[in-house]
Amino acid sequence: MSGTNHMGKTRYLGFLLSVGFWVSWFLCPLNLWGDVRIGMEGAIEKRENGDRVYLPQGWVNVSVSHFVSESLSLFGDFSAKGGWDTGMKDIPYDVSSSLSGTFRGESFFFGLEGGLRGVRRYDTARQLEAYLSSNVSYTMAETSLFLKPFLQTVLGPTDSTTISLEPGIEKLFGEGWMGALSFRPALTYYTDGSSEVSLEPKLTLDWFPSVPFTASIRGGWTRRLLDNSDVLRESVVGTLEMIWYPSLHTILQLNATIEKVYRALIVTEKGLTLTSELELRVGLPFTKDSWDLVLGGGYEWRIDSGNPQAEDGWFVRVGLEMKL
Amino acid sequence: MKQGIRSAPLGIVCFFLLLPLVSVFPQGVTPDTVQTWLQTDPITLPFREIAPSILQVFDSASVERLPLELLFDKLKEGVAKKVPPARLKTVLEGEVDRLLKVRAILRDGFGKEVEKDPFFLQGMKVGSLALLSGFPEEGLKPVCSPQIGIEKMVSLVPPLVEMHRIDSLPVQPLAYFVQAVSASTLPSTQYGSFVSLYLKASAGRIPPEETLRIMGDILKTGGGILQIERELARRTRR
Repeated sequence: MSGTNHMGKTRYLGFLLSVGFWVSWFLCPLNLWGDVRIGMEGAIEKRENGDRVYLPQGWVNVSVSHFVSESLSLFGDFSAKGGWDTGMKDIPYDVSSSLSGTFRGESFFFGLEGGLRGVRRYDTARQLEAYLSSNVSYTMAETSLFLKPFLQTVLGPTDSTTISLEPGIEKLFGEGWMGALSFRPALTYYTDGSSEVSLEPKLTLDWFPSVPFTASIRGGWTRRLLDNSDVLRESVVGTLEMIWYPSLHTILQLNATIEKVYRALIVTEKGLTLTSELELRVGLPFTKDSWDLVLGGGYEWRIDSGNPQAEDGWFVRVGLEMKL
Repeated sequence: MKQGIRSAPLGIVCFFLLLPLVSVFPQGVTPDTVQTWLQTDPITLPFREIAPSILQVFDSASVERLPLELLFDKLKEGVAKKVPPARLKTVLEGEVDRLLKVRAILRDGFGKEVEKDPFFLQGMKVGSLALLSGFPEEGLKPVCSPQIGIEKMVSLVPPLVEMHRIDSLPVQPLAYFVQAVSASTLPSTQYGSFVSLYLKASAGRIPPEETLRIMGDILKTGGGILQIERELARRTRR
């Protein structure tokens, strides 16, 4: 029964994703610009359980945009990545498709995006996500108020529906500094009848200087509550993102996150996690900016209350991406 | 040679950071000023043998009525960097060539009276440096229009050159973007942020055409840096 159900979901997923692809494809002639990129990579990953796996994978990204007027823009995106994972019996994939539109006035902005994503990874069994996200904002001089409603349905090992609303304020100050303060309450319903509430205030500081470098620091606090008001998880999170253009045709990106879970219903969830990821993208000479060499690496370190021994994992990847 | 190529982008960034100092350029430089400097300053000792050919370049620039301050500045830079004497003349001739091209673009865009504008020297300097950095002449033309004015042009060209280094700016969407900047009320002190916003978009695989169009549309509808960041962030999260 379960197998039939999964087959149905897979066909449904395939159908919807192919609709997304063909819609994007047929939008191309109407478009001012389209962008198609294909790539392949080889990666070695050491997982937290100690397994060392190899991941040869390939991907295709299609992006189309249609600028109806100065006020209205439409975008379509399709992305598929898949290949092999020597630590899995099944083929891993991550396929997504989305359509979005933005409508802007002098101080008013409205953005709407709908998308589908099918994913299967070593830590995520076959899962389909559908989402609808929006952004409404009003800008006065150098301050902006925004509201981001979000709806997501996940069909997977655990079916769920999440609805959230994120109001916030953004402010531009100094030369190239931008600060944002927001609060995101979310409600998740599971098919077994249970539900969960999460509260997430966060503060973001971005820097956009006049040199080819940008940085973003984010700090947040999250509390997840069960429907009987028991605290499922409480944590503080800090994130640092940097993008730098050190020399010709080279882009370096660094993302680092630190999360301290200090209260949790499941004791092994309490602990400290450090995650960092680095990507170096180098344009290959004599390819007219159409070929990029992608070098990446990541490291994760984790210690939890149930296990005095710290666990870590890492990955290294080398890939090539071509713009068609 | 390789080291020179590697240090070139850094030099460009340093130049733009030091751009405000342009107002302290030596004023009223003549070929005689250059000759005196070449004969008296000890730093010019290795270049004295080629002094006549250097002066020849200054003479021809003077005949063309080019501002010699910029050429003299280039000469001092070459001497300080110990450029091989045999190459220095070629470097100066290249600078004369660029200055002629930039002056023609400035005259076409702003009219012949532009040479009396207090920002003319800076306009010539940023224009020449833009061409030296590989910024296309065709890309410089839309930035030199009466709507934008030479003062804004001086502030806008350095960020555009940096953006072009990150990912080539296609001329047509660039013209649209520049037109939007000229029509916007965005203060020129905020133009520098275009560089890091463009970098973020490029790292997020937004094609340059799309980035320029989005930025242009936002500016045309009265938006600014906040709105540009928001919309580019939405596109990079795909």
